[in-house]
Amino acid sequence: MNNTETILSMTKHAGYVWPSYGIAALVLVGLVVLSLRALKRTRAELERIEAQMPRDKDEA
Amino acid sequence: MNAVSVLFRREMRLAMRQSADSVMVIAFFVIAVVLFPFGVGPEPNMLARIGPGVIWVAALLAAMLSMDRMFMGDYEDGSLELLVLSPVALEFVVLVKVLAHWLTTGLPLIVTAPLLFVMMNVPTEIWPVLLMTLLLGTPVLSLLGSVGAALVLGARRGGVLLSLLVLPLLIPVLIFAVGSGDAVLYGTGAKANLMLLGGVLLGSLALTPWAAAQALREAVA
Amino acid sequence: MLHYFANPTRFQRLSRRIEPWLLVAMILCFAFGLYFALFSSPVDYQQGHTVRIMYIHVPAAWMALFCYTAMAVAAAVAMIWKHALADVAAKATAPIGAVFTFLALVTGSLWGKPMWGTWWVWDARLTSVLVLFFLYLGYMALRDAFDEPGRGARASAILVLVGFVNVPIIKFSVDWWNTLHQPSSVLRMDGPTIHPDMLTPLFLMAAAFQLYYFWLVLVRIRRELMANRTRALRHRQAAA
Repeated sequence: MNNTETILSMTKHAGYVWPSYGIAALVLVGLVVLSLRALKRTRAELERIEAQMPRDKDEA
Repeated sequence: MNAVSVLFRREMRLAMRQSADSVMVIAFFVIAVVLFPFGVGPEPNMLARIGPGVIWVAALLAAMLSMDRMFMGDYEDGSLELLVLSPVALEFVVLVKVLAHWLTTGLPLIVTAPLLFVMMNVPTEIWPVLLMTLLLGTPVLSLLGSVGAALVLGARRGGVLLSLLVLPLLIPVLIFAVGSGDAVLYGTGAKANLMLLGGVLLGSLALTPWAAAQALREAVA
Repeated sequence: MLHYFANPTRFQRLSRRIEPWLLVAMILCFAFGLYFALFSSPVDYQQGHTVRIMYIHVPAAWMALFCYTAMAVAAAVAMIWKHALADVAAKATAPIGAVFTFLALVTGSLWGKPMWGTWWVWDARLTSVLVLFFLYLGYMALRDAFDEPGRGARASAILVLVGFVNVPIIKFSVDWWNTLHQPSSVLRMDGPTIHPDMLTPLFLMAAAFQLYYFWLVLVRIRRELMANRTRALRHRQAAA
């Protein structure tokens, strides 16, 4: 194992390794952001509708 | 069994009335293949090399054209609900529909294929094998197509969706079919390919009617 | 057991309690995994630094298959026992699986360019993963194509199961097709045996991806359950 050999010396292949990690980060974080935003939107909508409804009988 | 034959005669009568559909499928098949020499050039050796693959891909796409109509008419006029409720097992109904679809789509494709073999300069020694692959492969298109057609009933853009669903599943058929022709040319014999294709046919014959019947029940539920 | 968690309220409560732990474990795995993957793992004597792409590529490919299997199991449970939560789980899994499949394809392409000299080869593995990607797209498209969500759920469940039977056949046919046309020696990826020091980052990244899936699928399931409830309340509101 050679610890001194780090990413900084990847020179020749850096153009392939970095985009791989970059795209992975982008799509994985992107999906999380989309999911959380959808969750927030749906929750707000649900709360709005529940506020309009009489709460007694729809407690499921 | 009597009910099945009545159903079959009804299907064929309907298909005859819609015989323009079969003609369209054939016309599409021929035109799609004829486009290739314009696209890649008329060099005979190249056409011979790509011919079997091109003809098979065109057959796949042509079969897709009539697929979404397999249950569409019955779905729209409500007779599908009667078929679901009828004493005949829905799986048999599916098989009758598939047989009717194959007779009006697969069989005309097979009959037209030799004409395209000539035009694409396909070597005569692989003609029998290619016809055999069409004979074994086109029923698989109708069988898997029946599942797709039943799934997209009532869907938006059902026709396009059907291609997206069914074409990826048909890749093995394409590979084994075109592989048969290549195997004959390489001198290894097409037996293994034809056996695999036959296996795919038997497997889909056994499994797809259940899936299609289940999808039909969901469609009318 | 199945019925116990079928209750949406109970599921939400349990899910909210588990999610933070999954999130912490995922971040830890990613932190250590990335450290080992980028800084503290050996360079392959043949592949050089491109071997680092493996720590994304291989776990992504594993997850692509895992998600499809999970979707098929969930679809079967939903179909046989009419289990509403299983159906929601299948729906929540599909986009995650599609993203992992996409990642496996893109990183495979980025790995292929320096190793094989081309962005795309019709290698058996690449091709069958591409088909898997189409199956995910087909599932999501079919699911969204109906005005009535229940119909889309049931139709797409059948599609997943048909695809599940067919995927091994596609995989097998594609393997076989490729060996006929191209010499496998050039394309073989398992040429150099894997160095034990490479296993640490590989397994850490695989664990991180797995935890990412479980955390995100719980979040997405909660969202779907809320959306279902919103829809039900709307119907009641319209009826009243």
